[in-house]
Amino acid sequence: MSKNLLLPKPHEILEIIRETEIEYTFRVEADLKVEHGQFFQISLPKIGEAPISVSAMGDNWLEFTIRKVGKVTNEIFNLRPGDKLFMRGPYGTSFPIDKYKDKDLVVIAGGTGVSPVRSTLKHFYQNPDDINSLYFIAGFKDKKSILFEEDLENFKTKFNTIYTLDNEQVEGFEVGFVTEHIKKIPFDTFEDYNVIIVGPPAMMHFAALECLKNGVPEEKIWVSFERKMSCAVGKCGHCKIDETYVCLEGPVFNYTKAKELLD
Amino acid sequence: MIKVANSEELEQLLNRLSQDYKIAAPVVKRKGRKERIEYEYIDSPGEITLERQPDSSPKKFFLPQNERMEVEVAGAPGTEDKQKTILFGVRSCDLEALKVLDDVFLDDNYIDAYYQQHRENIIIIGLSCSEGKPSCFCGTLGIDPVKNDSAPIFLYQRGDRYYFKVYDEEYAYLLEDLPEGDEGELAEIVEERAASFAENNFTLDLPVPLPEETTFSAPFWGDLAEKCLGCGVCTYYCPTCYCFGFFWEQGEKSRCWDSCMFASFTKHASGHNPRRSQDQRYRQRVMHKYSYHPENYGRLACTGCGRCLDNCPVNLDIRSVLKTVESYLQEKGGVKSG
Repeated sequence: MSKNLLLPKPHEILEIIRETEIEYTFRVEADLKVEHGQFFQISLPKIGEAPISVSAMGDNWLEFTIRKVGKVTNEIFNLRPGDKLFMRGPYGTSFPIDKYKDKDLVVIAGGTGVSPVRSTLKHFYQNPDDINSLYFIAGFKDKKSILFEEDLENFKTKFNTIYTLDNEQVEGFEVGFVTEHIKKIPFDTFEDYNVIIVGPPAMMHFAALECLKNGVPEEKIWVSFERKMSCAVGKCGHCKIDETYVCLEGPVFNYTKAKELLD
Repeated sequence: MIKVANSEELEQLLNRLSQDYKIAAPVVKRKGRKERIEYEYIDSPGEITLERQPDSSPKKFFLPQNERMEVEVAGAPGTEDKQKTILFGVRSCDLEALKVLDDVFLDDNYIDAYYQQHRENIIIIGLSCSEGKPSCFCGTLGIDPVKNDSAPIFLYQRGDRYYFKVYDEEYAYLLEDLPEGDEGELAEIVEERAASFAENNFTLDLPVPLPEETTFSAPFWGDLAEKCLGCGVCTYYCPTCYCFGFFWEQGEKSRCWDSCMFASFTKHASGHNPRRSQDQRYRQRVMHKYSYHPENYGRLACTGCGRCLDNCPVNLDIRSVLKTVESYLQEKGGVKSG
C-alpha cells in the first residue's frame, strides 16, 4: 500500500493573533521544513479543508493568516490556543531566496497578498546583510483591513517602505492603489534586482504591467497565484490553468511563465 | 493462447469464478421506462448482457463516484477488500480510458493509494466490439474497437461462441477449464470486424496536442458553448474525466467526482472566480482533453466513446466542436502542434 499523501495531521495551536476583524493569524506547533511562499491544506475533521499560505515560520512553529470567508474558516475562528488544526503540506513552489541574495528586492503586496510574502520579508528583516536594499510597497483597502501592523512598523526601520490605503486618509499611509506608487521605485539605480508581486488577481495584473512600463524585465518579476487548490498534489484539476497545476508548478511563478498561463 | 466456450460453458466458468471472485459486468437496469446497461456486481451470469456499449463506463470501480475517506484522522486507505473483482466485458474505449487514469493516479511522483488499491484488486476481461453505435468515434482517434491487448484477457463473442484471447499468461488459470481454441478462427473474426469498422465517415485532421494559444483564443468558443447548461453530465459519463473534490457531509469526508463544468469548481471562498463563464469552462474541458492532457501525459484524454454526446441534454456534440477547431486551425494555416 502506498503512503496516503492526502492524510492531514493534527498540530497544536500555540497562539492566535487578531490582525483585523476577519483576519487572524494562527501560530501552530510544527517541526517541518518549509520554504518561503509555500502553502498547506488546513482542515478540521468533519468540516472541510482550505489552502492557506504560510505567513511566517520559526523554530518549531508556523503561522497562517486566515480570513474568515467560508465554512471551514468560520469554524477555524472558533478555535482557541491548545486546540488542534489539521494540516498537510507544505506544497508548491517558493520564492527563490537565493536568487534574491546580494541584489535589490522590490516587494509589492496588496491586502491578504502580504501573507504569502511576509516570511520572505521577515527573512530579510532578520538578515539585512543578505540584500542590497529592499523596497516594500504594501496596499490595503482601508484602515480596518491593515494586516501585520507591528511588522509594518518594524520593516520601516530596515526597508524603504511605502504603505498605502485605497481610499482612506490615515497617518503613515499614502492614498491610492499600489500601482500608483511603483514609479517611485528607483529601478534605474539598481544593478541587479527582483520584484515580487502578490495580491488579488487584478492588482497583480496591473502591478506587473506598471513594472514593465517602468522598464522592469519580465524575468525579474515573481508572482504568487491564488487558486482553489483541493488535492494539492496535481491530480484533482481544480487549480489547473492550461497544462499547469498551480499546486505543483506554483503558486510562485516567474512572470515569464505566469504571463503565458491562459485561463 | 486462445480459449473457447459456448454460452453454457461460459456460464459454468463464471459460476465457478464467482466462488473466488466478485464478478462485475454489464447488466440491464430499468430506470422508469428507460432501459439502461450499466456495470454492476452480479449474482448470476444470466444477468450479463454484452449486447451494446454500456451506458456508463466502468470508471466507478477504480475511482468511485463517492468514496468515503475513512482515514481523515488516522490510518491508511480503507480496509482492503480481500476478495478480488473480475470486471467482465470492458470495451476498447474504456480500456484505453483506464490508461488515462493510470497515467494520473499511478504517476511515479504521486501514487494515489485509493486508486492503486482498487486497480490491483480488479482483473479485467476485455470485450471486442462487433459494431459501433452512431455516436462512437474511437476509430477516428486511433483506437481499435475490435482488439485490445491492454486487458490480460480479451473476449470475442460470435453467436454462441466465446473466444478468450489470453494476453497475460499469469491469468490463464482463470480459464483453465476451457478447451484451447483455434487462432485461425479468431483471426477470421478480427478481420471480419475490422472490415465492418473500416468505413468511418467521421475523420479528423487535428494536431495533437491542439496548439494551445491559437485554439484557446479562437473566437468560436462563445457560440459553441452557448447552449451548454453546465450540468456536468458529460464529465460524469466520460470514462477519462478524473477531476475530483473532497466533500464533507454529515461529518464524513469523501472524495467525489467533481466537474470543470461547474462554476464552483474554480470559485474561491472569497467569491472570486477565475473561470467565470460557461463557455470558458466548456473550453477548459475540450482543451484539457485535446491539448493540456496530451501535453502532460502524451495521450488524449478522450477515447471517442461517444457517451458525452449520447447523454448531453442539449446535444452538444464534441465531434462538431472538433470539426470547428479543425477548420479554424486549417484556416489559420499550418499551425503546428504544441
